[in-house]
Amino acid sequence: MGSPYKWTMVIDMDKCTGCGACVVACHAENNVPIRTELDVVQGRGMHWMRTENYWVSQYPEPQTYFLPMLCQQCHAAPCEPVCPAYATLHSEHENVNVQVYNRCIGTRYCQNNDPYKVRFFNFYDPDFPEPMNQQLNPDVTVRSAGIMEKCTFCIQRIRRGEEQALVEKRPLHSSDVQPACVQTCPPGALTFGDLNDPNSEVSRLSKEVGAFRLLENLGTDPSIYYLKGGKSNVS
Amino acid sequence: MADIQLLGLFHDVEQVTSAISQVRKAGLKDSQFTVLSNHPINHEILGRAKPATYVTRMALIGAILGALTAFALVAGTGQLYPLSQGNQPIIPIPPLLIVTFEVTMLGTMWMAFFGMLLSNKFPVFKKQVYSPRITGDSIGLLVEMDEKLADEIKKIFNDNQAHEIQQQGASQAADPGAKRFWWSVVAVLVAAGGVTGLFVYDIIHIPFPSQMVDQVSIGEQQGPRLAAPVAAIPVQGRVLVNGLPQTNPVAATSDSLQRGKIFFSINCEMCHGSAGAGDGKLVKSLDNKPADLSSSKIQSLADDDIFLVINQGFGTMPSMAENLDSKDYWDVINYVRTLKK
Amino acid sequence: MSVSEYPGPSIGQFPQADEALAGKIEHQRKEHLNLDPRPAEEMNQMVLDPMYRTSRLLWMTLMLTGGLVVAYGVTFSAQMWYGLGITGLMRPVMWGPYIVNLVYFIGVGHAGTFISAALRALKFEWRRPISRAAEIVTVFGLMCAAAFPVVHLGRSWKVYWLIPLPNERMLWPSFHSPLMWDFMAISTYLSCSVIFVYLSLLPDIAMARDHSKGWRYSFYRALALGWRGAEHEWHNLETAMNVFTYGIIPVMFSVHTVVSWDFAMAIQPGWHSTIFGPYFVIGALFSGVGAVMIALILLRKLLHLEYYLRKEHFNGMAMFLMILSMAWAYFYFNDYIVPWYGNGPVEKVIMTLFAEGWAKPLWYLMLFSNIIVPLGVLWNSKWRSNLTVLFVVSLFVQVGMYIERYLIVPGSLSLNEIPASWGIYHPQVPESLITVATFGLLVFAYVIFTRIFPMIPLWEVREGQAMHGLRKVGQALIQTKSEPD
Repeated sequence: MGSPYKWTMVIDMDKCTGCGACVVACHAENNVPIRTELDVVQGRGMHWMRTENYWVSQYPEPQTYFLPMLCQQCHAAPCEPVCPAYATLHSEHENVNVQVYNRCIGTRYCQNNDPYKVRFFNFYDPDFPEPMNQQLNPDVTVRSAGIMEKCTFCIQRIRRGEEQALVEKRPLHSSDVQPACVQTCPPGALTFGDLNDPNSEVSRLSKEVGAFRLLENLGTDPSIYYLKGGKSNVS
Repeated sequence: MADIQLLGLFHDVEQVTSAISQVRKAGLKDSQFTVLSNHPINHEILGRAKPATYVTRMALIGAILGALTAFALVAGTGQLYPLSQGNQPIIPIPPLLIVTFEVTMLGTMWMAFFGMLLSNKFPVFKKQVYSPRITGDSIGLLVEMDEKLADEIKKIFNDNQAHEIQQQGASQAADPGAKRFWWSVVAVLVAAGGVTGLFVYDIIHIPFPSQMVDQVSIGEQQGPRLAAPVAAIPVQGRVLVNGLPQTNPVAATSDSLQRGKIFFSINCEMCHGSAGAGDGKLVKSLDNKPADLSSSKIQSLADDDIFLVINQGFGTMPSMAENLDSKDYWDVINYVRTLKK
Repeated sequence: MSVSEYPGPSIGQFPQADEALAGKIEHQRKEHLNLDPRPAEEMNQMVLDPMYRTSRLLWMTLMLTGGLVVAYGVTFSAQMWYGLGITGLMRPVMWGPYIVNLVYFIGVGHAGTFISAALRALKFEWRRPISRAAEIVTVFGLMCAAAFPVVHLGRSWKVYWLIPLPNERMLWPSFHSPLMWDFMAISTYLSCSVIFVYLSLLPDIAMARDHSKGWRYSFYRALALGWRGAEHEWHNLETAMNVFTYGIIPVMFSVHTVVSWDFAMAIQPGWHSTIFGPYFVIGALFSGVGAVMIALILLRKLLHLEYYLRKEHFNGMAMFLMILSMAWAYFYFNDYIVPWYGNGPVEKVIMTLFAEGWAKPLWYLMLFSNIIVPLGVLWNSKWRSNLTVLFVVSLFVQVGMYIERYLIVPGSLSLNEIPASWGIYHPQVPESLITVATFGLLVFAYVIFTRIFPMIPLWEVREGQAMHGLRKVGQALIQTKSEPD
């Protein structure tokens, strides 16, 4: 591949409380359009990061666990080869699955081939009523209608980290970069780092006993490890 | 003597074949006559040699061209701008085979059509000997030969019950209309390519509204200086409450001016200078020079704006909120007004 | 006996002829077009007259379908302006009726090629009068289908980025994607079908040129390219048509296979099946033959082509339809039993959806329309000769095949490995209107074509009539075909 990095996220499902702070942080950081409740019910909600609730048992002994779901940044991504416009590719340098907004013509084949269904289509032009437009992150393009988007591991932050490291004439450390969701998570369930770095936190966590990846049998080689012990967090 | 063309119309293929054998006996070569009919009649029925054609050869050339195009498209463009997708190799073999098949067949068939046009010398613009009855109830036998044989051929025609005979001058060798047609086809294709190139290389730029070049988001320090919305953030000072008139509640009495002067000398003078000209002692170590408070640019601002600048800072200027009470700002503002040139 | 004024088999060719024999000859002439030549100008007029005749039904059809075409344009513009949100598409069903229509209309186009190319290669003589009408269904069906890759895009105005031309951004389309293989395949198929129709039309345009005046004369003269029917012209034409025949048959198979690979290449359960290639090809032929049957029945009635289109042609097509119904059932059963046996979790859910969920009425209607109706009706030769029955059966086949594609595209897409991402697609006005309007567009283009060009390939019919004769063997009169190599 040629990339020095292997950006990985480890999500500890036992720590996740389902609070949704990561969802909001992602919306704020990445200029994700906010749709109405009706839109979300109709399946048009745009949540690059979402928490899925899985009920293990109901009242009177309710047990649930929360699965934060975001783009798994697969190394053999099924969404990539089906794009005819080269709008979704594997970035050689950052080693993540990138979405090139201005190249996307909206065939939506990538979403059909994505087993995790983490890609979102702009069915309408995004509406950021005043003064919401002032909150928008200038580092991230605001997409127009007809374009697919998805979690990018906050590649704008990775780039900033790289530029900072370049200016300071030092290599980029795994801990220098944090996507918005990882930064925000109150219980600290999300950890981000470089799997190629043997000293990074993610290297250690990904080797834990309860570590697994989603839908591994499909051969997608995802970059997100989930940790789950025996108990769920509401008992 | 000159050549002439004779067209005899018959009702029956047997009559035509009998006429053909007699025409041959009269000494004419096979290349001097042809049969015109409204459905294909096999050359064996007519007793002639199989006509030569280069349609299949053209088709083969088309196949090769198609295969090369397909290779250029898949393998060539893949190499030109290699982009990694889904862990597949840059030149994927199964898609290469698929595209090669399709484009090869495309090339084969298009060239076969083109070969048909060329070998039939279509489209024909020159005048040709013909009768509309050919597409009706007749088969034609068209003979071109020297004028002196005319009577002999006409007799052969009549012997075989031709119901109509036409006579015309020799056929034109060249077809200038066809040449003009093909050159105009070339010109149209070149023009189309040129126009496409103009668009494709953005020489003619169509400003689509969805290019996302103009972003709704606001860059750092590019936003308008706004007041906070009603009751959003608790601040002191009437001026920051929307909807109320932007008047200075403190009159510019000598007391106010004196207080303002003292506050100014403590907080503002080091950068803006004693006369507010932007020439304080710290100026030489600042990259962005402090504003000249006596200039019309600053003096034309409303009290409200100066209040905000003192409260929030502006650019390199830090906020004075920690140094001064907001009610003291009005005294400073009143003093600054006196600095006007 | 003259070829052009060939009176066909007559009593004079048989010694010891009697009343019974005359009756038998008459019967054979009535049954078989190839044994029933008429005077040439009469045959010409039977083909030319319908092009000039207008009626109230014609104007009403043109107005209705023309209105639908306008509605198509307006809806598409609205969709581009407001965004795809006006349709019912949502996550996870990102492909809906637009893709169903794409597959359906390409499918409808397959029968034309089969009849004009494959039956020609196999020397089926009853394909002679029907090949042009069938091929035109192909051409216009493909053109309608080719609009859908543009209509379903989120940014339709940027579709030209898929054309592999060197450009300022130095970016090329990705041939990894099945959509680009689609593009290549459909362009090949459409362009070659158009040329194939033109090749077959050339001698008939010459005939129309010789029998018309005014703008029609100039138009046909330009298109006829100076055709005279000379021996070398025929030979070159037939050689080119042979190249096309043998070339376009594999292209036909490959086109719908490539379209099916849009689905098979995806790892979506319900789509990821290796049998999709041949399954879709057979399905395409099936719906296509049904569509051609509908077109021919209407043409025969409205253009008064009773002389050309006889029971033998419809009988042949009906038997073909029945065989295709069995073939389709075979492939569908294959596609069903393998996941059923394998018990994959998502495949099981999809099958439950079809058998018990919201798709239940559609699924049963599909099986009924595609298997029960054709097999239950077309085995009977008396019913096969009733054109109304054939029309109704063909309509059922269209309905069944449309539902089949609908169940594959929005049906399977609504379920996947992540239950939190399941969702049901509800069709909305824009895509439904565009679907109906596409049928309107097809009919509109077809009707305009029938006004301008002869719908029967006369030269092929004449060729057939010249080749066929009657021979008395014992007490029977047998149809014979003589064919020089």
